[in-house]
Amino acid sequence: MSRIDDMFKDLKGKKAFCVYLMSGYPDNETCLEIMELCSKYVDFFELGMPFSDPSADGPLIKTAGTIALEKGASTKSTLELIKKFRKTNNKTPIVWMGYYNSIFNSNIIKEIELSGADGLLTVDLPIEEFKRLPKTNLDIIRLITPTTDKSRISEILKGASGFIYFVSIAGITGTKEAQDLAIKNTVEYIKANTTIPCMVGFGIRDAQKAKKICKFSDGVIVGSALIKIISQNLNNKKEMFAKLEEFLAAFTQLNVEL
Amino acid sequence: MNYPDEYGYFKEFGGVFVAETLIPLVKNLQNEWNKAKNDPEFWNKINYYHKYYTGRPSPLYYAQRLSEYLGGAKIYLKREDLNHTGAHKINHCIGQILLAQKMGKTRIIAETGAGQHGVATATACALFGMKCIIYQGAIDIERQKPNAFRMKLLGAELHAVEDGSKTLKDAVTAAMQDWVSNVDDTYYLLGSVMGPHPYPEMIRTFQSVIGQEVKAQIQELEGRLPDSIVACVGGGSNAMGIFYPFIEDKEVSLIGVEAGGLGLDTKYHAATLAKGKKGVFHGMLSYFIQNDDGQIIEPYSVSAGLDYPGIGPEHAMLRDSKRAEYTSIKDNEALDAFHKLSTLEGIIPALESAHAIAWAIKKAPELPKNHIMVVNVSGRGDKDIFTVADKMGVKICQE
Repeated sequence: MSRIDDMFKDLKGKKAFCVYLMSGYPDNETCLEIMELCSKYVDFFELGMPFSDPSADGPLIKTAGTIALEKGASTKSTLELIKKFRKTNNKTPIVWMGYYNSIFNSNIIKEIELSGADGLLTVDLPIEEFKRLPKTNLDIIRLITPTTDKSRISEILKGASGFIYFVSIAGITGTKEAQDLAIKNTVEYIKANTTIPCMVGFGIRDAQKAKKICKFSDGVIVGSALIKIISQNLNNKKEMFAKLEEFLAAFTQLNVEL
Repeated sequence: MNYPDEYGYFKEFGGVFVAETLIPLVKNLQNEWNKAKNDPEFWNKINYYHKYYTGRPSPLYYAQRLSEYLGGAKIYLKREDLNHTGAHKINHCIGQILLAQKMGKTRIIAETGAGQHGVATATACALFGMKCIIYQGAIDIERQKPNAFRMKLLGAELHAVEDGSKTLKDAVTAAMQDWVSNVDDTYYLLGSVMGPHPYPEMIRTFQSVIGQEVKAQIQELEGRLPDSIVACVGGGSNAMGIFYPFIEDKEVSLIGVEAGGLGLDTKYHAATLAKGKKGVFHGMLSYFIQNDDGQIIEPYSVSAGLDYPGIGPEHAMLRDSKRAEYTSIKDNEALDAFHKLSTLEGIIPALESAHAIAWAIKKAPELPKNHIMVVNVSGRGDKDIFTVADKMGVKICQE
């Protein structure tokens, strides 16, 4: 059982709340503090490894990545960040999210595993190329999108582990809003055909939206909305943390019927 | 064996590395392309437009004064600069727009560096009544003003890309983001032998008309194959187009010329094969200029069309198998060649093509007089006169 499996098991059917944070944003030290703050509210993390040319990300996450890289973020600093977080938290799962080129030229997957991360999500590595990944204990997270048809969903579900990430919009992060009715059918189809949980991400801006999505999914992933709060309060850390806490607290009601 | 294989690999290079959202679109494009490439009706249409619209075949011209001036190899110029729109890019635009039309797509997106592919795409869209959106880096728009304006005149919507280095790499990323966001009605009309399969194969096939013509023309003029063929390489479309029909003719040397910028010992170049490492970017496994941590490094060249940190996967294969040789030419050498061709032959080449000409100027004097060298003049230089004037310290228009 992986840490991700344990986490879902402990939820006992309650909805999971995951946030996406960009490694090294707004800087390494603050990023760790934000992770520690978030860990009080979230069930797990996606930790983004910044990339120079993030083709699946909208302006908010792209800008965050650029700033992180300027501040010196790297695969090495991201591994260090996970190790530091693990010193005080051995429970909250972490999914390393990034682009394939960051892990293509190195043996980093073993190091990601050893750092204390639990999953790996590579935006631009389709399932046909998973054979390139070395053997690992990390859960390799698979994506399903609104353009994925039923026969491909079956292919993707074969051998899936951890959870399924349903990308609720055809587009880049932080742009369109998820249309809950349009995605409900696909998520229900996925859940009928797999035993692992199905999380929904992209286009979920607030707790209201999250609650609607959670009526049929196993949880939600929030990225750009959180990055936005950080980006709007770069000069006032106290304010940033207060606003983050306010935003996160609203999501603790995910399991309350509206 | 013929490359790519059914998975889009040129030996270890190529493939399909895109976000899951795009996978069904890429597979659909593979199916449509596989049907079209064996459909004589489809090729009849392409050939019709090549002949009556683009003005093909383009001449193969013996550059007598240049050859005599250099005193070595006999240099022929393949005049892709004489095509309608002024470059080879129209070859793959006609092919792709006909495919887009077959697929029922109504909205065309494309990236452009120097603006040659953007102009050719905008032209094809006007010709077929399609909506056209072009992404071009803000810096490239500035250094290629005539082409930027030309695209607007042709009815295209021009989007300035302000991300990253604001050049070709960022324009490709922006176009891919548009594609992922508009999956139903949009065809991504890629401008080089790069990106996910089937683009590298498809664009090479459309561009192969250049090499096929050269083969027939040189037979007629010289009664034999050339000894060497030279072309500039950014993504590599004009080079692949002129190389491909000669791949099996092992006696013909194939030489690709990358942009050496300010020199390979500086950070300012776009010489991917010389200085890049294997990686995955923009949908393909190939060589890329990147740091040790896999971050793509912003390239540099005086020529906007060569200013790209990657290279088409087939070139990566040809280099590693040693079937083709790749070299580089610096900014100042390309500028010098730009002037030489203008004054010796009355042909103003694109700064991209000037890199291939510069290599010929460098090598021809060392070669015997019976050495036949074909240089691909992939585009004309009208778009570059502002850049060149600036380098010469000449002011040619009032602010």
